[in-house]
Amino acid sequence: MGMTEAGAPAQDVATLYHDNHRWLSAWLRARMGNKADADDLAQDTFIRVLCAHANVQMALREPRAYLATVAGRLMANFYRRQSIERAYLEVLATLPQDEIPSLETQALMKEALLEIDQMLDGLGIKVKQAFLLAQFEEMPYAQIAERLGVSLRTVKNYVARAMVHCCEMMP
Amino acid sequence: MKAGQGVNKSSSSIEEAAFWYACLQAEDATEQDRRRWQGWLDACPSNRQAWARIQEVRSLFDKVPGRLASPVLAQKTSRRAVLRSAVVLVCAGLAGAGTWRQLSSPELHAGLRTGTGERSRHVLADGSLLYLNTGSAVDLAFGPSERGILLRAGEILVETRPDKLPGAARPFVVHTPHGRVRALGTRFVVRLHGDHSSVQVLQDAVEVRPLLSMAQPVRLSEGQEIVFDSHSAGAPHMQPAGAGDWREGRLSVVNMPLPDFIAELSRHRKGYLGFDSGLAPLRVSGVFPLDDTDEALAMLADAFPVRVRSFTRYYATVLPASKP
Repeated sequence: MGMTEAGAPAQDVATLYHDNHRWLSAWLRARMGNKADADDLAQDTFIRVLCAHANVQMALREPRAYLATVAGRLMANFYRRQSIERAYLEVLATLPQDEIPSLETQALMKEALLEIDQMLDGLGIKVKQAFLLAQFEEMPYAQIAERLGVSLRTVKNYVARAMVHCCEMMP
Repeated sequence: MKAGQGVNKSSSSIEEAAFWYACLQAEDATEQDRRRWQGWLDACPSNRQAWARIQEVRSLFDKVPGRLASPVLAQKTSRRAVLRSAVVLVCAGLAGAGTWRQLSSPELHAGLRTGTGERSRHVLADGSLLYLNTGSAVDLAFGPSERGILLRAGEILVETRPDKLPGAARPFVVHTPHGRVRALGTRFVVRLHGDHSSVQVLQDAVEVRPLLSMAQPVRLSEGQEIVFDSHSAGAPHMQPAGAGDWREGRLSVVNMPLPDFIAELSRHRKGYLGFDSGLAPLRVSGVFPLDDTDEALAMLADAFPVRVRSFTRYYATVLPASKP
């Protein structure tokens, strides 16, 4: 494992961790109200920072501002995931008992949904709506156009634009 | 994107492919459209590549039935509820501090209760709905100035309706030994633990006031959860996924530590349900039936590296799966 120019000596990293770990956990806990999640995210934040060698210098100069920025971003992702998971459970809960998929299928579908959600991230509201209706509800374009108050041509453009976006976002 | 490829060329191929995709998806796509698309596809390898990329995206979509995916993905990010910290109402006083004791004389009130593994639903005098979870007990205390519920044990879900009494708008209040929870909206869960109470707001908002607290009541909004004892309330935080699902007979959990999961399931099951302490780090996600906890345990054993050993119907232990 080569240390790059921008990388920090190991003891600096250790100091960064030592000086700020408790602070960051407390900072996250105050915002999340849950110790276990806050501790997990604090850990993730340090891993993120330590892996991004180029940024370690910056992290060392303004450690708490930097850590808070990274942690804030992770927290936003965390809540987005939770809101998707929650919505997913709500939908599952509306299914009749005998149509509830096995836990394994539940888990696979959840992962796929989280992945798709990431892919759709950044689309405009109408573009996303049009795409969801066309793709997942198989609604005819004419009906989508009416629902969104746009022309048929625009619906087609929306679907194409969303697809380009997905192709770019897909890992 | 593959290295060394002309970025512009391939990104415009993707755009063309997406355009074709949108055309062929249309309800009025014709045979002629399909032939022209085929011509485009055969025209050059980068078109084929771009089309393959679209198919990759499509195959991810196919992993989830559309009817299920659409409402989930239409979710707006609900961070607001959490990041905005507790809003505190300007109005307080200790006026209600003695309420619990005053209202507690049992002979005045109609009592409702459920045994282990039972749940029940009741329509109250004002049309509000009251759900009792397993092992719960309440007394109803509807009076001229308040629609009150006294939570004695367990957990309830309340769905309030506007007051029916002519000319009155009596507040709807759930009392626990630790304080009062006043409905400012429609749907919430109150649970009594040994030394504290908790509230989850499923819709609208509630106001929580610990019995002995001099502080202003804490307002809790949709999606939040709070824990309080008779002296103080904790900070409102985001409630776990699946809150209140027990009303539908389901236990819905995301990433719940196994010990918590077992404790939750035990509430609905007669007898002893234990687990091997080595399993404590395991996290459980999924939707489980509450009316058939044997089935729930079987589902657990199907999906996770665990097995269930039962001596009788009343004694079961969750153990690590035996090595094959």
